[in-house]
Amino acid sequence: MEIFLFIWALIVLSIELVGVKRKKTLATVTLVGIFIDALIGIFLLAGKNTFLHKPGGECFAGFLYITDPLSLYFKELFCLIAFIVALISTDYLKYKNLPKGEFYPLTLIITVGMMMMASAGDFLLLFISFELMSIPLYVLAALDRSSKASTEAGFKYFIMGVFSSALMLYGISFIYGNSGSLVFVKSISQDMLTIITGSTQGNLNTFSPTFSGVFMLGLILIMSGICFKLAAAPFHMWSPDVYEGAPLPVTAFISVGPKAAGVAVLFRLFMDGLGELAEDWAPVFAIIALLSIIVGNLSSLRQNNIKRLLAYSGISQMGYLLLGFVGITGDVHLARTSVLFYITVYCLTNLAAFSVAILCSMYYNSENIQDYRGLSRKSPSLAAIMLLAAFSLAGIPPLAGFVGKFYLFASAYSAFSHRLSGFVLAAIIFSVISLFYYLRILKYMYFTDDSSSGPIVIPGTFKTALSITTLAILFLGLVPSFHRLVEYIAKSF
Amino acid sequence: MEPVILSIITFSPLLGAILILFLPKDDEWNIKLLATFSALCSLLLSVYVFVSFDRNLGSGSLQFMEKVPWIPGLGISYIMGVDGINLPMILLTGIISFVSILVSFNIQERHKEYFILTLITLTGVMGVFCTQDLFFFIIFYEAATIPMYLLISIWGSDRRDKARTVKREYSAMKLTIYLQLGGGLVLLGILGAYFLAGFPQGMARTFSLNDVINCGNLAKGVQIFLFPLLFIGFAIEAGIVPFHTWLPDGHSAAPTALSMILAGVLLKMGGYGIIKIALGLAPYGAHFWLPTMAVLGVIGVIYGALCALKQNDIKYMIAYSSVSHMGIALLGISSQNATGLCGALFQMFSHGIIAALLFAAAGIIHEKTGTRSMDDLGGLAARMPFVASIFVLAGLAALGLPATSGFVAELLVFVSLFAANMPLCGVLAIGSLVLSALYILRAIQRIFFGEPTDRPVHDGHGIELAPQIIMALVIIVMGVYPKLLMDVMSGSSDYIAELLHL
Repeated sequence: MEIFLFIWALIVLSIELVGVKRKKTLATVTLVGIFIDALIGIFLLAGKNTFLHKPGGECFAGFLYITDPLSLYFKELFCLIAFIVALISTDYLKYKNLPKGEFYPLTLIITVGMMMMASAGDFLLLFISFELMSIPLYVLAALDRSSKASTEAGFKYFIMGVFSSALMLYGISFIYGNSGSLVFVKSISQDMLTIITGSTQGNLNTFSPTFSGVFMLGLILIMSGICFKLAAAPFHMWSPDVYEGAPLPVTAFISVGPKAAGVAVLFRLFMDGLGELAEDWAPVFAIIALLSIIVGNLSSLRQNNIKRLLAYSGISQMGYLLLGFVGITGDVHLARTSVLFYITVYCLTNLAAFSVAILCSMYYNSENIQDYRGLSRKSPSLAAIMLLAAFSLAGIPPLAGFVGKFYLFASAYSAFSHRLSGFVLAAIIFSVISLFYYLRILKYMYFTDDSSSGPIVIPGTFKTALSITTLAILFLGLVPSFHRLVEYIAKSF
Repeated sequence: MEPVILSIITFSPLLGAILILFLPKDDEWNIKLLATFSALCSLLLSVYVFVSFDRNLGSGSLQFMEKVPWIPGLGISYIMGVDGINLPMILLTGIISFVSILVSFNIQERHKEYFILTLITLTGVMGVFCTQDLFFFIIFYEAATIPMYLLISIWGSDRRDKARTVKREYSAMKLTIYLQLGGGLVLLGILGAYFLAGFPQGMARTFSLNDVINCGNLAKGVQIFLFPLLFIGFAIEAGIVPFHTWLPDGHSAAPTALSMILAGVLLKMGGYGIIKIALGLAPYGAHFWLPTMAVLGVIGVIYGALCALKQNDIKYMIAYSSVSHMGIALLGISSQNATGLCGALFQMFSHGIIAALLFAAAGIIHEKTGTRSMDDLGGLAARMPFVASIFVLAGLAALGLPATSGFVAELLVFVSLFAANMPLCGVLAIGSLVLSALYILRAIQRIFFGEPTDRPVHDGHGIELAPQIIMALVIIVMGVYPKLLMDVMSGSSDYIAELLHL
């Protein structure tokens, strides 16, 4: 999958170089590429390929490269994200006159990076794919060369990102020094391990799960590196500024892609590899989760720029998501299901919100929510989709966001039981508070009138993107088969 | 049809909403027709269920059961069923749905969105009463409250008088946040019951209400901890003092039909939740917290009445009288015997109809005269004889005049309080009747009698009167022949009362 997509990225790049003059060629080629890639993934997931049922992964040029239902699931999600981002960016790029020759290939390369992150089974591969994802993202954030804000966003993102990569690398070196192995996957078979490390010793599994200061320090450093990508507090400082400065489609991508990839890594590293040490690392996640929920929700209350608002709301959403990791000390299976479910729902819901925001900003030429007056009159469907997205993010049933939050709260509750339910109570109360700012968006769209100019025309690309995401918001929570799929993935290793 | 009848009752408004979605915006007539038809369908079927409910089966057994496994991994199933506790509420919701749609006919703008949102709310409320699964309870519960934000902010009215100005956006936001907070607490309580229940060996965890009640074996300490969560969550919804502050603002800012839904059924969701879920899941906890509940009940009754006495705005007056009446329902619950539970249910049913009727009358007055302030009204009896007589009837029922449903309900509660050896509560509650007579008669006097103002006003006519007549009939029928409801409720109330005394 990744190889195919990478080659495709090169093809797109060369088409640009050759200089095809037709306007939509690049976008179309990109979309077709992602679509084919997603199909390959579905065949792998559905087909009974033998290598899926091997206990470990594949050995690829000395790296541990895993293809299992979990990684395939995340790859499908990344394909979907990239597909929607490509859909919603075509018109915006034209509108802002941004270079699309860079945008599409970079998007594809980032997607390749994210996919490799989902498959990484040792720290080395993890770091390489992490950088493969991050570096093009810095470029994308600074895509709008004529805008000061965009350049600043790109630079800020770059500096902070490099810093977090360094932290992560430092953490990896601690862990390597402590355990003598870079492999963090648990289910790896013994002979596979021998091929990679050259000895039977030194897998993290065989590393005795006793608490060691250096090991823990390394773990926390890696955690912060990834949490930086998730924009979870206290590693969130960059996100509102970068979101605000970057062009809208890029913001949409940053708000879901790296987060999903980060969750994939956290999932494999902590839920699988270090599951037995959960008692040690879960409290750290608990602190990060609570901090993110508080900071994200309280800061969102007074935001007027739709991008900043979604940035802060994204911080709090990641806080909720991390509750699932905290929940691993309780019902393991529930915790895994909840994380997988929520990250899917979050990505699709956020993309829906950003699609509407892009259309609005093109129409109103503004990114302030006060300016989105009378949207419900101009385009009832657009306002309705924003309403659904906002309600889903706020966790209103029966939308997908509610079911996701329900899973997470249940999972956290199972870990804490009633003595610590104050923690869950705080999460729920802040979830109620979050309603305030989500409703504020709707207030301007529904309650204020604006007599100026005619209805909004929704281009075909947006119609596709919006219908995919809206269907997801409406039905992911209610269709039992999706629950079964997620449960199957969660049980698969 | 039998096995899915409850689903039809619940989802027919939603179906109506979806169909309306596809109608053109200016096709006002068909939109109204569809909305009325779907609400009528819901009403007729709930009457059918009410009539064919087997009254002799008694105890806590469910009838008209539907069960479809939904998310087996978590033990969530889609379960619908009726027993003696939710049946009166289902009937009440059926009636209120229909009349509130009728009342909405005079909405001035954005008909399409209005009816869609109202119908979604009605589906939510009906679902809350029909479902027997805790997960779906939460889903319906919030589906009922969220559309209200939009309904109030778009079609509601501001309060502008000498006392203070209340913007409808403010009221809507306050209501939403409060109700969501209530929902959150209930969710936490339900999760607690789910995870802490000691299910017997070999039985998977489940969200099914009956299974948790029967096999949950919640430890006493856990119950003492869980009950306040559930109780406060529901008390917010039921407008129990001191969690009531959203209620007057919300009720008054809402458009007439929504005020009727709020006072008529939404408050009852809270009361129903306390009886069915809080008492059912944590009977020992309820026992433990009984004194607190009784004190809150007494405070609610008296405080609500005193506040109502002071109001100048008709809708605020009715809203505070709701606070007072829900206090009586809470007193009935806190007596913890079968009579008291019956009384509380009866009170909720009767108050649902009475408050909705009062709001409907107030809505007509507001619409015809353009003001809700009693200072600016007077002598309306001569100009609007029909509305006046309806308002007087509802008012008298509210203060518990014999031969109205209000009398039966309050009598039951008072009797149960003395039976439960809580004479002080009983005396205070009866004393509050004087206050309620005072505020209602004062309101009637100031609105309908006295010096007439020289506004040209017309009485309600045609379709505006139909809902009032329906509700007035229900009040009188239930007052004269209470056995109709009592038969249904007694079996299940006995069952819950037994749980409490274990």
